Amino acid sequence: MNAKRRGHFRDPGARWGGIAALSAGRFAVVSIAAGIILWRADIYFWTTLVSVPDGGFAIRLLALLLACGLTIDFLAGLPVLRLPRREDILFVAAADFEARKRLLLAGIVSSAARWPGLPCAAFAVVAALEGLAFATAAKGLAFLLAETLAISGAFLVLVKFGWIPPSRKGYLGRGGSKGGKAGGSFIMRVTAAGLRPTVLRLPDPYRWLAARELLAALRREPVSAALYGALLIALGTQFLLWDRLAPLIAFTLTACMLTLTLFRTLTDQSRAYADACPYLFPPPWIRHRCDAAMMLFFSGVFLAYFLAAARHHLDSAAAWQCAATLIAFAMLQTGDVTGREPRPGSRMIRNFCYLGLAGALFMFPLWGMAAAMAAGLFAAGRFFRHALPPGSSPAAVPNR
Amino acid sequence: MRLQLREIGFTYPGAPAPALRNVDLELDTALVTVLIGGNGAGKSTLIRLLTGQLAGYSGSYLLDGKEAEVSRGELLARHRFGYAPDYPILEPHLSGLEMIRMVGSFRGMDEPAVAEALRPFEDAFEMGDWLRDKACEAYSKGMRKKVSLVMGFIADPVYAFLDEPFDGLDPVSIYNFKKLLRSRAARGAGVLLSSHMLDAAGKVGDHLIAFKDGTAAHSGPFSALIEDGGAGDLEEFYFRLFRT
Repeated sequence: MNAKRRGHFRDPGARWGGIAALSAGRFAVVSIAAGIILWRADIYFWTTLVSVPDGGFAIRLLALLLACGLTIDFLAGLPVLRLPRREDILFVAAADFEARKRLLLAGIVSSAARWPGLPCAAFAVVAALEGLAFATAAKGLAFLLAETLAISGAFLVLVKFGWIPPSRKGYLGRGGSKGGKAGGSFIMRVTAAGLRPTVLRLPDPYRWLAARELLAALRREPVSAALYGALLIALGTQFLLWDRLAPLIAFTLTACMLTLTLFRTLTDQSRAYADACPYLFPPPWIRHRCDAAMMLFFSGVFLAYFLAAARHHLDSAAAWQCAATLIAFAMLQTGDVTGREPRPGSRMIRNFCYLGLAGALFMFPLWGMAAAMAAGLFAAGRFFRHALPPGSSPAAVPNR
Repeated sequence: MRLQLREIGFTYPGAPAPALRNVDLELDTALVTVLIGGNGAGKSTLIRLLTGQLAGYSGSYLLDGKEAEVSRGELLARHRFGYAPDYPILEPHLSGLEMIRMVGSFRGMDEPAVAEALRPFEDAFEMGDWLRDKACEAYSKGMRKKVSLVMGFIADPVYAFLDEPFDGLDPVSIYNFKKLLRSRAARGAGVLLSSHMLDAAGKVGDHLIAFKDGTAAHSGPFSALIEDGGAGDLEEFYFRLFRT
């Protein structure tokens, strides 16, 4: 029996290729993390530019924590860097075996793609910190803050102890404990009942186009609704402190980005399904229109507040820069058009593109704006290229 | 309604040989047409072509004598044909009932109409609470197949394409499904079904098409098959055709 048949086939150079791939992945992660640290540092500098009548120290401290929290948020979403896991160790140990290497790479990519719970947890910490500052600045808002903190805290505990297994395949009815099965059935019923008086009253075909994505988001991450509620409460609190918490408009920007990212992440399987079965669905442009409307619905309140606050507290040029940043982000998010198989690491590439745009916008406003517009046109071009009549994107269906 | 296929050919990108070669067929939408053949003979490719999932074919299609463009999915979208794929893909976070309601909604049906259309299938496939309470990601192969078949039939199509419909179904469901197909055919709503389960297919079919090496090696009614040369049954005919 030769070495190949025993499964120990050695591909010359694959050892170095494997380790190099891992190193390159880590290098990319570190680069992006460094970019985020630099980018988010602007929050702190904003606090030094804007006059804060009272509670200034607490707010500046909070801004610093916010920048750190957002960085931690990003790092927490990358298990490869966070701590070495069995797959990573196996990856290095078995780097000379091409097939296993591919499997391990796929495992690492898929684990990185299952990240919604972790950034949610990190974001909840940030929201709680901000809530503490609100409490310092205005004691009358204790009730709202207590609610935010309770939701965030409960979320952290649930995720930490694995009582709610976000994104775990099979928790909606199969596998796991009896309690897990009952919980899955309960979630199925509650989410369906919750949508019946609302989304399921929309006209066809938007009714089920919207409902399927909402159901996927709620069932994949059952506490996402609570987290979104906490963000809205925090936004409401900010609105009440309009004149005193100008620097924290960045929170709104971040909340908007988080909402968009989370919604896109939680519904990626739904979009993949529609791409794989175009014969079941209305034409792609109807799906895309519905998708865009839902993203606008979820992020609209943050976007409106952010634009109004940026316009009020900063000069108009800065406000427009911020707006262009946000719009570029939304465009890149919706750039995942239908009709194309997502490639591994595409989310990371997209986020990296966004960071580049954001950096360019803040450092070189004019060129940055042009870059943002180019990104928007590119995303739109990709959409129109793929938004063809029904059945005219056969490449979407793999040859099974 | 008659669907005629004229000199249809198709080659998968990068494939050395064509998957379909000069396929000349005529399908009567009032009949249950059974498509048999070995693995890779072109049965599923033909169904995918007809359902608009593959583009770049040669030849032409005629629907009631008028030229049709099937690569845009017109048979499903405009003429409301049904389709159930061989490998049922379902949305992981929805229940089977929600999937069926969704497809019904896209076909312009309201909830009472979907419930009414679903009833015979619930009985035939013995669909229990799992249809409502479990997400599709928790379904077994048979459950997935049942939901997929119901989705193909929920809007009561005049004709349906079924790729391996019996695969994964339990014997009771196969028996009841055959009865459903026969009752549909009795009112003029046929199907084109591909299957390796010759026994089940032989008992439900009116017309037989045997595919070999990407082309239709035989096309004719089942009654003629039984009388022809003492073939006796479908299994015997299959072995006689594919051994030569």
